[in-house]
Amino acid sequence: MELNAAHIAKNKLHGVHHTARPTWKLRETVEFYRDCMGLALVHAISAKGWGPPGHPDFLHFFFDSGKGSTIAFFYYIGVEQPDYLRHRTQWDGDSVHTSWGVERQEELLDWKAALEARGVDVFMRVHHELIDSIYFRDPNGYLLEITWQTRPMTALDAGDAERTLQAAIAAESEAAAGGMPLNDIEGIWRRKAQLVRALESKE
Amino acid sequence: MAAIYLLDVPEFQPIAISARRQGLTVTTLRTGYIRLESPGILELRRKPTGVKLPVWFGAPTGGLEGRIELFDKELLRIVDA
Repeated sequence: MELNAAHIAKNKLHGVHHTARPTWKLRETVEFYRDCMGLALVHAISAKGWGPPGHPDFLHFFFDSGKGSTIAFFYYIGVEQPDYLRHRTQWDGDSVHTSWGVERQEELLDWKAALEARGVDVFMRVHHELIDSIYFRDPNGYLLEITWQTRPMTALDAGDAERTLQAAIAAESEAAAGGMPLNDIEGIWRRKAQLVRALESKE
Repeated sequence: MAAIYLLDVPEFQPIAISARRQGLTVTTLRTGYIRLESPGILELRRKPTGVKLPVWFGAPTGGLEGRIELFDKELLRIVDA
């Protein structure tokens, strides 16, 4: 079937059900999410011989993270953690992370205080453009974030995001055509200015 | 001409207010952007804007005319390309 915009528009998602990552620290993971963070353990699958060769037996368990969402883990029984899955606490490894939302700034500050009172190192707070976030790690080293969004995202934000990505994709294509990687944000911003000027002249 | 476009949202608006005080030409566009410009060299200091670094370093996200000669924690300098 050929997909078109009308078909795509009918397909809606209703929030995150779960995200999942592997853990090799079973007890610590349960104690952290259930006992320290207070996320209820709401579901656990255990299976024998069902997984692919190399990890036939496993646990897959889920913690409630609000509004029907969960955060889940796999624990592969009898399997040593491969080196490539050891979390690197650097920008590239940390780009994979989970960020939960809270509705008020007070909640964010309460979380920070509560986590610190329980011995968690909340090592960073960053107020980005419209999100105010705290950062900490789970026993696996995985980066976790709690975010308060300071205002709703509007049509203006969305239109701007479209133009940023349009400019970036065009800059990347141009660089690739010249056999070069895209290595400078300035080229994207100059293209973005062209798009903004074109938009203004249309109005 | 050296210029940047700010998205006209609360996070970036303090930069526009300060830019006017810093002598730049500031034009609010109909399309949701604010153009800051200066003939020749555009210089904008961060401290008077009051914005923190995560917003500061994304200020030209709306667009850039010219070439960034310096962009550190305190100063953005754009020259005619």
